[in-house]
Amino acid sequence: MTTQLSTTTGAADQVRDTTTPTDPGGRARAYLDDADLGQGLPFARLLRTELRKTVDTRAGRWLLIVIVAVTALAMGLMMWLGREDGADYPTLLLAAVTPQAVLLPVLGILTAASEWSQRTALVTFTQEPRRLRVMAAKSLAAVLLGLVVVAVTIVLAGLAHVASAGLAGGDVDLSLPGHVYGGVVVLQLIYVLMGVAFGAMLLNVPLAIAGFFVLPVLVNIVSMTVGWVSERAAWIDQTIAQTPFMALDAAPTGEQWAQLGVTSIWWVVVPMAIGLWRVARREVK
Amino acid sequence: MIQIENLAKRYGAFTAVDDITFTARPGRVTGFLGPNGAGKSTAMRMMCGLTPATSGTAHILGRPYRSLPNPTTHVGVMLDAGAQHAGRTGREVLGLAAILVGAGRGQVDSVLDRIGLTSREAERRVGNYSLGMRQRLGLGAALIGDPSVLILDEPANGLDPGGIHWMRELLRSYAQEGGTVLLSSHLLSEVEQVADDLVLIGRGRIVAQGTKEELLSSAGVVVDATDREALHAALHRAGFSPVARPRGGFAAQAGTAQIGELALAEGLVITNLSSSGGGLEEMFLTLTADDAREVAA
Repeated sequence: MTTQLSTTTGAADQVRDTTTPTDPGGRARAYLDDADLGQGLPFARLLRTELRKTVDTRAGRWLLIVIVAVTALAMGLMMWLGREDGADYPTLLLAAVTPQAVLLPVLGILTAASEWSQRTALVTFTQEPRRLRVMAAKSLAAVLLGLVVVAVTIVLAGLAHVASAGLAGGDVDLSLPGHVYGGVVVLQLIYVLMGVAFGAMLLNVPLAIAGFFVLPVLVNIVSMTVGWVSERAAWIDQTIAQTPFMALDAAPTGEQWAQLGVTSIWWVVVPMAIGLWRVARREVK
Repeated sequence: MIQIENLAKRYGAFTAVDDITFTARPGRVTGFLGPNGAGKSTAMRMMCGLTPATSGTAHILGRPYRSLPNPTTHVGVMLDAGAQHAGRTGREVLGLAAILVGAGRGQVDSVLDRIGLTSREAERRVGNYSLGMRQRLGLGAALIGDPSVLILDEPANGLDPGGIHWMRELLRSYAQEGGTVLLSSHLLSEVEQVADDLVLIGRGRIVAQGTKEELLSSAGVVVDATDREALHAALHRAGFSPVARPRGGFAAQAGTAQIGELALAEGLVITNLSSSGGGLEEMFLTLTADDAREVAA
């Protein structure tokens, strides 16, 4: 009986031995030594893929096309309205910035939330299990794209002004107070990051888009009707806090900067913190 | 190597994975087998750090997945072939995976070649792919970092017979090169031919595991000889617990080779010797049937 049993184990071992490879492909490893670990995933690669993901799908590509089309449309409208005297450069710029402030956040929302809707989060967080690192790459990618859009818009507004002035025979005047550039950049970046924050907080594209547009309106209504809120609206309601930053005549005061900072805590920092907490903890299915 | 120790996942009162322990060794294909809803996918997600384990550990190459630097260069993972953005092309999906592992464009082309997608197919959007094509693409994305471990959830799902044959060859040669392969399936026939080791799971628990040979032989044989009395005595002495069958012969707990050796040693003339026929299949069907009843109840 004993001999029989030992033969069995012997046979099993033989089977194992014949299939144990001589490692021609270098894959036969049970454990990773520190030497085999290799370098961690460089952040630059992560950023590159996240940037690419925003433009390599139809949804992302169309969003960028719509942003460009709306920009062109807004500027075209201003050029037509100012066809007699030539459209002002600041007017052209601000006309494009307003609709962009609506569309750029959608870019942020898509970046943060679409992977959960499309289930590619399963792949992404397998490739980089340090999820907050992925979110950092996503946020930076959205910010970079936002900056590109702002830069292109500034160039387009300049060109549109030169063309409009030329057609109307007016003077070309590309002067614009520095604080307006600063205001445009800061506001658009706040909107993009707010989009990322809402996307991460709700992890669902339609829900995040709805939340992004409905919540500020609700707060706006409250701030107009509730006395206590309306007295402090500039510290709570970001649409009110942002108004001075689009004004051409005067640079924002220190208090107005403080108000922008404080409203950004409510609208960007808090949702982002909730979003990152959810992303870090949520089971990816 | 993949080492799973006492891994468990509970959702409230429901236990999806119940204290499982097994090892997938290098150079071998390990089949992770169980009916739908048995806990295979949950266990695989825990291995990859996507689902936090309630208790227990999962180590890949000696480390938790989350502490592997740039994990896809060490572990190729495909958990759901359907988890791809429908608007991306197949080539783009591989391109993104290639950037992360630091592979070049040439690597994308060679992987496309390896998974049998033509360049025309690779330019199409994944939304237009059949399930089989998505499986090939997912496997390609898993292979692109030239990993030493593969974790594949239902990779044969949706493949045609030719595709299943292709995948079998690919995984077998991968293991022959020393790689560790863990693949799950709810169909015994899919993994039976490619797996070296099997882990059977039902309702979150491991019900059987071992080498395929061990599991198949534990199912026993049916044997008959000209001299039945001598055969019975010999089987008894060898500890093969013979049980007489109504139509003659005996069922015995042994492999065919062991019976052959016994017959040679005892000078018996064997008239019938066969594996008792799908013991594994029977075990597997029982598992499936139990779960089916549970669903019906």
